[in-house]
Amino acid sequence: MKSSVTSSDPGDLEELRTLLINSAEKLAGPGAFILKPGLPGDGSPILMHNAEHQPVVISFDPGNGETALINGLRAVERLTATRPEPQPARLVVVSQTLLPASTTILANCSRLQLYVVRRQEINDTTRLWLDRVQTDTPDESAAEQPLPEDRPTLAKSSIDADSLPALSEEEASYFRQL
Amino acid sequence: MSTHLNPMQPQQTDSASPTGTARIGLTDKPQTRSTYRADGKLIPFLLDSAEQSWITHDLCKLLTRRNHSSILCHVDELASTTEAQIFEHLARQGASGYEYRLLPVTSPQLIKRLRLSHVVLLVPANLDAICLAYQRIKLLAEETTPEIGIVMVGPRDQHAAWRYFRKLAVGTLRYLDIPLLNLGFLPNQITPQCGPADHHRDNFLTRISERLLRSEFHTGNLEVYRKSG
Repeated sequence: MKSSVTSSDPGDLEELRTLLINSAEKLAGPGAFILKPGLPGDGSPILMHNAEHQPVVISFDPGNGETALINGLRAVERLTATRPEPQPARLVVVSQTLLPASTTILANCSRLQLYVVRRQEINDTTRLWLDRVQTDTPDESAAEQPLPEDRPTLAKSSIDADSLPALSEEEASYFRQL
Repeated sequence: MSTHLNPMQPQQTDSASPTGTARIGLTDKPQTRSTYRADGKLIPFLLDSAEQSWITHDLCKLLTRRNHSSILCHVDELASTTEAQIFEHLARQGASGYEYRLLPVTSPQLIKRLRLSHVVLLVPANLDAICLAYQRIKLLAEETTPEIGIVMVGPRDQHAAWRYFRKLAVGTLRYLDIPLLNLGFLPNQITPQCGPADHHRDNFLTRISERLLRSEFHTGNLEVYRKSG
């Protein structure tokens, strides 16, 4: 069987977003799930929750790591202002290019992770390679933590009911009780 | 096994093409086939809220694990753009060789605009959410009625899931003449905190994915049509 492997650029922002969303557990740990695929603001970083229900912001820019970092920091700041969490969000920055002075930045920011992204086409299937930029200091976030006992219920609907068609009297009466 | 509450044939929708290939129409006729062509089956999900996105995320992973390579396509951010841009985005992702593309959307208006032939609604098991789901189905049915599948989220048990589904399905059948497909449920013990390795969570999601595949609940190969000129 003949197989073909080719490397390519990570593509445009939206394609990279989709690939990163599908790599949620690689970036935010097992049990991570997407809370918002795009936060408001430049670059629309992705908001995830890890298994411990702690926020993780994924900021990315295929060609410019500095832009991704700045966009991510802004998103974390906005998030902290609007949704006070017990702990500030963890920030993951993904780019094709390595940030200048990345080891110094990492050494000074314990809640920051940097990844260099590469895309490969293997037999017509797109695969995303994420290489984590490491420092010499141990990564506290990688330590396993027990799952919380309490299981929060899903949040109430955020749908704007005003934009939906009104119910007739008969329909409203039907849905009044189970 | 998936069940239609209504034994009648599902309604014919405008989006079904004679060849069995689903078609997404943008506007009124005349339309011409655009240069966008994407193989791969599209499964749109209408989420009750963004917090439910873990469900589509896990379903996507599960399908891939079961040798149905799948990818999540997010278009909520593109809601303010034109339909053509959304379709272009979808078509581009479909070209990457995935068998299924799962499309989680929180806006019923966006689903309506895209005139998709199939939609899965994730409906929390409470009366308010059932009523809201009914209103959303009513909105979707204002132009062309898609085939609608329901996944109940958070009922106490199978019996409760059935009661909520039946309430919704009888209502849509009685007032809107729309049959619903029961695609299963995720009981309240299943939460994102269960972790992906949780067998309980895996089993329920597997049942939903099997019903989706067995009932071929997808749009078929995506062809995008654009208004001429």
